[in-house]
Amino acid sequence: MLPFSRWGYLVVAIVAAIVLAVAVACQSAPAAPQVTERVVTQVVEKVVEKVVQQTVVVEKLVEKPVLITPTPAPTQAGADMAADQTIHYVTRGFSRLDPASEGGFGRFIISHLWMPLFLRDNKNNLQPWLATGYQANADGTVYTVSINPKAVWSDGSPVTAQEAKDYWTYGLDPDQCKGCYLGAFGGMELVKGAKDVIAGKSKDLTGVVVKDQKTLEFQLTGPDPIFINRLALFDTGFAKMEDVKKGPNFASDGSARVNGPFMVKIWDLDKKQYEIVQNPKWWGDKKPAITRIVAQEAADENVSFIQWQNNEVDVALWLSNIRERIRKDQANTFFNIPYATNLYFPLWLSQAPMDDLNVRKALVHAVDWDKAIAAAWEGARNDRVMKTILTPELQCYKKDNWPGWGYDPAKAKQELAASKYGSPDKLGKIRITTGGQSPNYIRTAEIMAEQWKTNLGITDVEIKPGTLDAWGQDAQSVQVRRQSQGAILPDALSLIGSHYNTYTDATSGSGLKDDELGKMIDTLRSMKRDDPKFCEQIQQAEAKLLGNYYLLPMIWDVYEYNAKPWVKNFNANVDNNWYTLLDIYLAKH
Amino acid sequence: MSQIAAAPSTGANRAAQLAALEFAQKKPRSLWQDALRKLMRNRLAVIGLVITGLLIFTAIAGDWIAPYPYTRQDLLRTAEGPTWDHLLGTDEVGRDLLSRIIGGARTATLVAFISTFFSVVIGMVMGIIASYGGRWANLLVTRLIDITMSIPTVLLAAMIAATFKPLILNQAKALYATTGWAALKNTGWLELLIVFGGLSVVFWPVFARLIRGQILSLREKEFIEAARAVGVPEWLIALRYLIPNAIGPVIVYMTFTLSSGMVLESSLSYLGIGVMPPQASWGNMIQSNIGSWSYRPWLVAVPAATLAIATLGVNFLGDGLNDALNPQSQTSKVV
Repeated sequence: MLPFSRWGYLVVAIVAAIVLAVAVACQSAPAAPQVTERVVTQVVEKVVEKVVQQTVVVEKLVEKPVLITPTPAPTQAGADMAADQTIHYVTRGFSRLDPASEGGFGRFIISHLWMPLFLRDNKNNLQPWLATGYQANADGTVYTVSINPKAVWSDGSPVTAQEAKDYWTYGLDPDQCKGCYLGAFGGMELVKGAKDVIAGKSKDLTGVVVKDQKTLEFQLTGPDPIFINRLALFDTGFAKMEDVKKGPNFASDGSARVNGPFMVKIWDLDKKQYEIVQNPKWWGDKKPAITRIVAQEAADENVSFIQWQNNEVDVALWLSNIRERIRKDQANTFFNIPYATNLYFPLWLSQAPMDDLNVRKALVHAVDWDKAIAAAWEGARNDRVMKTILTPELQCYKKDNWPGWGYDPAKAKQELAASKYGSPDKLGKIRITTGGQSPNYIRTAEIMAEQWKTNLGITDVEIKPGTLDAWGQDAQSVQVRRQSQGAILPDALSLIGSHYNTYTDATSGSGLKDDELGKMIDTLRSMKRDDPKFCEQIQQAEAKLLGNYYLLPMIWDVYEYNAKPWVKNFNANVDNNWYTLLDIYLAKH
Repeated sequence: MSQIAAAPSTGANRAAQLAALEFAQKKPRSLWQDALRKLMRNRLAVIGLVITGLLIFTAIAGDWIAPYPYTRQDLLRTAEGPTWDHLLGTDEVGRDLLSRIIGGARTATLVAFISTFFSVVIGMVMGIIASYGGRWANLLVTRLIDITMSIPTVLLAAMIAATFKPLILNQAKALYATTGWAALKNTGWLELLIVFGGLSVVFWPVFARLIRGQILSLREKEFIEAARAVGVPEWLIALRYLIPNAIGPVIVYMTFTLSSGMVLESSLSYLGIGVMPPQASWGNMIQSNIGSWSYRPWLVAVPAATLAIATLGVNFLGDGLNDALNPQSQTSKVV
């Protein structure tokens, strides 16, 4: 079924490789990652070598130019460099450092301590990181990845493929790795044997095969055209098991070995001291200019805002609307984290009155979401009202792809009247949990309740801020629960599939059922993302999913870093990671 | 001595005689009249009385004096400063801040009075049991008081909210299912009663200790001995002489409990275990805007200042009552 003959591939491959090699060679900026140039060479060699043996591999390698696309040349550090290259970073809080358990605020640095095999840039293009390249078989069920032969730990010992396998086995095993996400994020469960490890049935991750000291083979349970993207996730970096066995806070005192350009000096959650320094045994060709990162927590973002205004910090990550004050006059300090998120209130279809589609439609149509979000989010998310699941950051995003969406009180009344409940007094109590104490969520819930009262006459609504536990014995009868989903893997199908799986899962009790949609998603799983029909089909799936009216929308959230103008070459990827850290330097100021 | 004796003039003697005559002609004032007179001459106490009176009036007449329903939203006018339409401005979802403050006054007053009332009732009963019930009753009650007072107030209140509330609400729900009583359809009021009635569990020990101490002290006084000697039964002595004479300090402490109740209500609401949105509570109002204190300060300052003024007012009144009802008080001089 291949569009070219074998010789056709050979010609295309060689031409493409030469063009790329020339392009890289012509890069005038010496700061372009040297590791990338080396990959180009290796890829070219592999192309030539593999073309003779196996045409399919060549196709894959040529089809994945992301591996050899250099990032734009960063500004060169030079005479403008400040004497002190310490970054002062402030955010809301930190948790323990361990790749498999990383769920939030350590993401800025974790991929520079324990390196994943690949690293994404701001546009989600893959770059070589711990690995130099990969090969895939024809149907995308076997991937072979080469670890950089120069890679060593900070104690000088070589980084081996076996260490990766041991760590991932640990990371997937819930008995060993408490509070870890490796099995939940990104799709490691697609590897053969992973589900058994996650379920505690096996201690052997059979699908990861150590071919030699520097080569790993991933055998998957089914075709996955984007598997290599999963190996760029921050959770897939690996630490040495000798260190990990010291306990969950093994990285706190700085003794943990790393294989990235930076290492931990101290990461003490009790003392609130967080400091990252250069790894003296860093094996990469490019040496970082930044010598130290001093991170600090500020639970009250008003306080960290004052620090920012006083130039006491260089980089900040805020979650509240405090940043809107900066946006007015310091817009150039914002760096978007291209992370697609949905914040919303799913409806528990298993609970009356949400079992009736007309009730659900009425509840959506009775709220003026644009105004509600503008008020609840203080005007900071006006253009981020969640009108679809896919966000503008993702491939295949289609505006207004929610059938019948919109504020229409008259229609809402008709829908409620057409429901099996007929009138608002027959609905019973509607219980809302805000899933946290965020004022934004609470305000949204209050606005919903008030508009239901005004537009539909629904008065028996109870809101409880906090988690579902706040409801005590009534927790199971809560019909409106604030939740969120994010595209940790920047892939449209992953986000749609995650919604579908979450709310059709019998154990969740949410009660969504749509077998036809399930079949559509299954068909999409093995489709290549550049297939011309992919977007069309995923948009159909999204419309079908949203046609169930199983959620009340809120927003596509926005995450951003703020970096002072003297922090040169700063940027962030979908993992919240400062992926340009090797190029970052502080200019005199 | 001789100098002193020589000093008074004839005029001074006449003045003293007139004063004595006037005193003899005056109707004797009761303890309470005397206390009221002292209270009204204490400026801070009068200010406290006015604030407390205003608070109670606002709580009772809130629906009539509030310019808007406190849940009504205007999403196009959020977080506005004071205007003629909205004298204190609007909150984060466009509700009139003054109406929310008035609604919050009702919550605070209701909670303060409910918790204080139950605390006094429980405390008095326990205090009387401890002082009249014999050695074992005394021991049991005083140990119970010690244990209760050793638990942090907020923690105890939170525990009551978390453990007893679901049980009682489920019972209410079952009762509604069988009887259909309309009062049980919406259990919001019942939740309030449980959570804030539960605060009496926190406050009663002080009252019990106060009553016990007073009764034990008064029992040894001559007038009680006299009553006992003429054959007045013990229950009548308690009712007629002991409780009325012990009530002074209780009244004083009640005012402090009222203010503590307001603060605790706000604290629990701030922590998310008290009054639930969209009900108005000063604590809730502070909590929902604390993250924006640096750029919308009035949304925090107005409820916080109201809480501070209300608490201060009730405490002023308490101090004044203490001075008025306790003749031995060092601070009984009129301010």
